[in-house]
Amino acid sequence: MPRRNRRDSDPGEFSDPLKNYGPTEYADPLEQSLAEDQVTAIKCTPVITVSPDMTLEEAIKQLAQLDIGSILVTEDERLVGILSHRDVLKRVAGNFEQIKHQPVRDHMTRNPVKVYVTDPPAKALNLMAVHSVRHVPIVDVDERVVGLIGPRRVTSYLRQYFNAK
Amino acid sequence: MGLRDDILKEPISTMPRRPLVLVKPETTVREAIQKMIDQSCGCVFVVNEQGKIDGKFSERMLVRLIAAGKPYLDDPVGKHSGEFWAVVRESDPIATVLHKLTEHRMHHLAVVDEQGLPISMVGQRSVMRYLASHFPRVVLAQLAESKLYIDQREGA
Repeated sequence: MPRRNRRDSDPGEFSDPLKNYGPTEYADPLEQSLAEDQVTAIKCTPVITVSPDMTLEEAIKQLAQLDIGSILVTEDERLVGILSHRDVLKRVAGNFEQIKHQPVRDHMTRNPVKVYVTDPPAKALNLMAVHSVRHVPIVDVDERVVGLIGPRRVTSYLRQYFNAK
Repeated sequence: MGLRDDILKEPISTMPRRPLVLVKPETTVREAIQKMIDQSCGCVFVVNEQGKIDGKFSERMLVRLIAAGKPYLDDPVGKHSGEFWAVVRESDPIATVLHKLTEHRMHHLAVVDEQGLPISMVGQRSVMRYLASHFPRVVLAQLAESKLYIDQREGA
């Protein structure tokens, strides 16, 4: 068997592999919460869900009447899509009269970015930043919808660290 | 300084900001919608002859117009720009953005100069990107699919 050539190690290069295994130190409680709490530390209910067969007209009326930014589309409680203000702007606003009786499944964003209940808040916020979305659904281990995080809930969550401390 | 201190002390000029989409009051709603789509922006600000902001038309107003069931596409956007709007200055602390977005339930704020003329925009997306910059490892991990479990460093 050919001998493997090894570079002589420089003692000065030794790095203790265990030195980074101590608990992370955070600069303030906000950072710690974002990194270590569960995403449900951000208020995530109530959440409005609709069937994919609901008409666009009915779905948009719900958005307006409830003054919410998005509704989740579910089948058997499992997330299949989302209809948000941005979807209405991009896909519906210009020809609403022609398509208002079509099912919401044809105009929703399918398989939206989501987080699991075990994910930290930082993951949800970073999904919003990376994917340029305002709303992130939360699902459980069985992919069932348990909540929704949106911009108002995020800013309310952040403000509590400035009001009380 | 930690994240909390950064938000309290750093000025808005350190946040990611976006160009404003400005329209005149006589711009049609149809044209305003197209500008919002082209710029991937959730609102347009209506400016008067002096160039100062006089109103805002947002996706929220658009949804209300659609739900109302009346024709709106050819209306002047000035007719539907009565939605509450607010401004901040670049020298204001980032906490001001959080305060105004929460207090007034808005998604966007116009950033104005000392003369009150609009120069850029901040909003929820700016806040998220600012926060993301404090968690670079989480941002890099976004390329992978979300997992059910939290990765632990300890353990083989």
